[in-house]
Amino acid sequence: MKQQKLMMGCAALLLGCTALAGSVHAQSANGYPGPQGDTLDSLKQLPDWSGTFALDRAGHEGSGYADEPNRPQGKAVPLTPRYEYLRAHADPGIQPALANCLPAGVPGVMLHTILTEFLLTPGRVTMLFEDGEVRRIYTNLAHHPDLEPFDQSYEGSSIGHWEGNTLVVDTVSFPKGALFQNDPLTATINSHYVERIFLRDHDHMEIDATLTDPAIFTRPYTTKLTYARSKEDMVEPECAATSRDLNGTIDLTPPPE
Amino acid sequence: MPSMKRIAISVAAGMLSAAVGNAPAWAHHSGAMFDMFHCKTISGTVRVLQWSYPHNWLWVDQPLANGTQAVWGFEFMSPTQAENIDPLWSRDVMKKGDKVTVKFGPLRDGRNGGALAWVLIPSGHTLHASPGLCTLPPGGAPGGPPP
Repeated sequence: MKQQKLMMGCAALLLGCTALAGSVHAQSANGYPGPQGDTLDSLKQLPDWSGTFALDRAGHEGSGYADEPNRPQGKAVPLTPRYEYLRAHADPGIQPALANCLPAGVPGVMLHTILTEFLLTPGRVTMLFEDGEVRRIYTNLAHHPDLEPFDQSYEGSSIGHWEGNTLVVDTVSFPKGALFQNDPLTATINSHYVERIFLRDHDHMEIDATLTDPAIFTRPYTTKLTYARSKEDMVEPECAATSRDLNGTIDLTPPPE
Repeated sequence: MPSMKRIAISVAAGMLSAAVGNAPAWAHHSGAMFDMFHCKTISGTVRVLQWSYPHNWLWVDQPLANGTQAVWGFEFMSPTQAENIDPLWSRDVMKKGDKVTVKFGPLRDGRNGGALAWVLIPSGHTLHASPGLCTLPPGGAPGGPPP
């Protein structure tokens, strides 16, 4: 009898340990509740973001940094006086990094009409851009890692978590990231970019973003970008081979007929 | 679908912003090398349409009075972006020898090139490449894109 009780006790203990282990596992590596995409099982509970998307024209013109200074009055980018001056007096001869086939970085890469893939794998959401850029968003980290490797970064360090069907991305340390589309101004080491990404419907992805940097903006700058599902597929980028605009010059050598 | 059509890197997105009224802007690189306010028009025949990243290029042979021809190169958008403006755009939308009329913001250095505003193709369709470009007073070329 004693032996039987002992065995039952051990069994209960094992079950308890198993249940405890299960609850710890369910809490996810990033500390957030619900499916976080940190395991194959939880990935199955996340939305289907397969396919390719591109910033659509409506999304492009309606928001974002790209159409500044064409934004409607009252919706101007809230630049600090210093950055207003820098924009107004920008040397037109200085090209953005993208002109030399370098990355646009954060947030600039999000503002171009380029095909983008969102790959959901355990512990990571990877954004692949058709110009060859990659953003890796770690969904299995509660905090940003050591930022030293990112102190000259274009894309920065990104961690994310899921709130239902919305991926919330927190990006820091992207001092080489382009601020706008058509000038060489970049973020600073203190810039902070937060995105809420979700499928508004089957064919449209919405990215509500807030860019904060007291040196650049007088208040957090919010944008709403719309990406449309594309029928196109990604192909290999070949900017360096085909661009005629490297180093601020234009090569007018006609191609072979 | 041609594989090159899928080279849809769109980095001249700033040109789209011209649609809302101000000077067109280039995204992939500064548009400072182009005179967006003194547009020109030429007619000629298609030499080749380069459908490529980061920009498409339309090359046109312009016949000259002395019997020779000048070669012009016009930069515009990129595949995805061009298709976004007009779904008719594709790498196959025109072929060598097609008679075209081109409006463009010329290179400031005087060479035979510019930023493509639109091109009129033999079907009578006007393919816009940069909404707002060459419609901008003052100093712009008279008239905007054809209806």
